[in-house]
Amino acid sequence: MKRFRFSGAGLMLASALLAAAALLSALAGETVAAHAHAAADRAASSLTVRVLSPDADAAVETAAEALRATPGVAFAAPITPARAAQLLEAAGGGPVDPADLPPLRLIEASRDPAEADDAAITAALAAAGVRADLIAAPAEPAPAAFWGRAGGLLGTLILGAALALVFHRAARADGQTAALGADLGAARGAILAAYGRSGAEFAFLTGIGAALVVVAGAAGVLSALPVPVSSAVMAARISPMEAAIVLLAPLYAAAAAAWGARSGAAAAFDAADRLG
Amino acid sequence: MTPPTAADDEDQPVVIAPAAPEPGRPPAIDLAGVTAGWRGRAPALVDVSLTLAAGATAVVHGGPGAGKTALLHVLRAAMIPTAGRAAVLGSDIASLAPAVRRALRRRIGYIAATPLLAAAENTFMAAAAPLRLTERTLSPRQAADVTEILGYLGLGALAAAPVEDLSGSQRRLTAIARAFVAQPDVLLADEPLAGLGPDAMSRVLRLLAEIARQQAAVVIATQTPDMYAALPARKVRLDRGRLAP
Repeated sequence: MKRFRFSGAGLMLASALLAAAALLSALAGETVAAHAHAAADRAASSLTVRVLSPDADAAVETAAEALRATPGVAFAAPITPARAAQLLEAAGGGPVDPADLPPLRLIEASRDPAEADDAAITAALAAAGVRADLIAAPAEPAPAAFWGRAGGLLGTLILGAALALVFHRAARADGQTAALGADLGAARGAILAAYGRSGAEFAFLTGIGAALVVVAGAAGVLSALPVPVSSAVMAARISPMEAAIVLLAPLYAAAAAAWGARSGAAAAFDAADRLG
Repeated sequence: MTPPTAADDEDQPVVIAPAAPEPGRPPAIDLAGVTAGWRGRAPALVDVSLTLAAGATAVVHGGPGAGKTALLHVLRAAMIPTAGRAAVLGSDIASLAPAVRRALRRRIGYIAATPLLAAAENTFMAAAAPLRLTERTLSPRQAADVTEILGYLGLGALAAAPVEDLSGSQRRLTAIARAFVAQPDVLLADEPLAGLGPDAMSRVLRLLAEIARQQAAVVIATQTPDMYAALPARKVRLDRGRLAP
């Protein structure tokens, strides 16, 4: 009476698919958040300087040299018409002929925000005798990262709830052991624990299978790219968070299944325990 | 419990002596004005009063819908009266906490009209189910008792067979064995002889008499009370949920 076993190919397939989908949802959310953070880091480190001094060519070159000498500034170079055309095309503006562009008085720079702030850069330019504006790219990393993670988490929760529902229904459909336990006077907790344990074991194993399939599938896709990614590079690119998500996926599936199985067993047990 | 010896079975027809009542012992079953039924439906029992001493047997009979099965559900504390008082083994079942009701149920053997057996188990494990509620493994004595009662009921060779492979009558006999192995203080049986052959019937009757002799109160619900004529039992007739004179 303390033993109960879930079984069936249909349950196994549903469990594996939902566990894999939950894992992919969590990974997708994490990937979106990681990209948002990377983009924000790039935006925070990039800087455009517009030179206002009248003697444009000399002032631009002087400003660039002053910037390169400023601690925390990793790179500084005048934006040539060719570079401007390249940036405009990358922004989706279509083909641009550099010859069509007017002379620019802009410098692109990258900096470490921790070492070089706007005040320090402005001071360095003023010391070089250059009057200039600093134009920082708008950096709003938090919303994109937040919504990426929130979306992934929401998807994972919904798929976990679906997994719990599958096991709830399976437990109700296979509620004979629970009903028999009620008939014989078994402790409700013991019966629910038997169902929950079996659901957890079943979903844990299928969750491991799903995680292996997802990882193998991702590796297969990356290795089949026109420029294949080596396994060493793949391993190096996996972030600790992504690794944790993959490792925790079977446990998450087990917890969801246990919860669903217990609630389904409780319904079957209670229906037999109290008839009127 | 120990089944009757094989020599007892040679006596035909089956005539069983009544159990000797223990003086001063409170009744095992004491219903007073009980009204009860399934949720959301009209009461299946109305104002039923019934007292049964330990060691006594009652054959409750009546047609379909008379309330026989509902009476058994009340006696096994699965159906709580909406009016009146139902005391089983000294406990008013309406006042018991759910966990205590379940503990009380472990002292009550129940043979349902359609026995519920765990399909994944074999006959031996199904029959031993009440003993496995609290014990991780059966003691050698318990295992021997289960084997003995299965053998007495003609299921010895099927002990290792999956329950799902058993016939209807074999499933019923397994449920009967299950009800007896825990040596209950109250035994409730809903048409226990239905579908059984003559030999199995006489053996079940002897088991019913034996458990009564061991001071269990026995209540049998049936539409055919004559099948239990060999038992020293009190006849109680139900008609549309009420006791009939």
